[in-house]
Amino acid sequence: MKIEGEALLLRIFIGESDRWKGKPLYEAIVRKAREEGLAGATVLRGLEGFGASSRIHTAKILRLSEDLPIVVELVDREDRIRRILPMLDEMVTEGLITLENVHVVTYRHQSAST
Amino acid sequence: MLKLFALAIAGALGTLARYGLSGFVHRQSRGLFPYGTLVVNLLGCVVIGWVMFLVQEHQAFRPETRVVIVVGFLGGFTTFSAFAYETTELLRGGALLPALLNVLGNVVLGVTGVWLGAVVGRTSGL
Repeated sequence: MKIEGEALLLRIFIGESDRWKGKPLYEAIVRKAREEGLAGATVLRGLEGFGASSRIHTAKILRLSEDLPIVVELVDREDRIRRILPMLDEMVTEGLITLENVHVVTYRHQSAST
Repeated sequence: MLKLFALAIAGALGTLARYGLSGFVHRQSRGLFPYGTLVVNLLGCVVIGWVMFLVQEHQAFRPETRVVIVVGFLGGFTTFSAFAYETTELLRGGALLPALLNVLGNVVLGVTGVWLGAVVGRTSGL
């Protein structure tokens, strides 16, 4: 697969405790993105944050360290990103989803040596 | 065996009480100072001062009961490891004064709390 030039960056801000059908939501999103043939997904763990509830979650205080922020980033062509959006809308019952235009400079992988 | 079971239950109750109270404290407070841990530790110190006053001066509890309350419940209710972790995080973030205040709060006020618990016991006649 090759993507280059104009693409969309989809960012999904959720919590590490969020679940989808018994599995961590971030894991379910990555699986879904892979199933749908997207170019890639990356899960990033946040150290601190707050969301719609204005409740701070931080690793600095143990009692507040539950449900630390997670960001899932996906970059792909617009049609693929737009195709996955309704699925994410169903899966992400609490959180934030954003879309940005990006320009892909490099997307490559090393093929396995024979 | 019964004592161990009672200890386990008391420890669980103390832990749940800490979870609830520290969560309540953090919901009421602003900023990222570890008030929750401070409050449970100070309250635990006052209670241990009071209980041990009753034990030492009035033999108020049987040894098994004392162990369940002090080691079990208060052992689960208070936490040194969270205090140490949160102080370390303050230091790592460069918050030197809050870290110092946290140490002074937990240690100095904690010791004061033990004394205060005994004073409460002595003056209230409870």
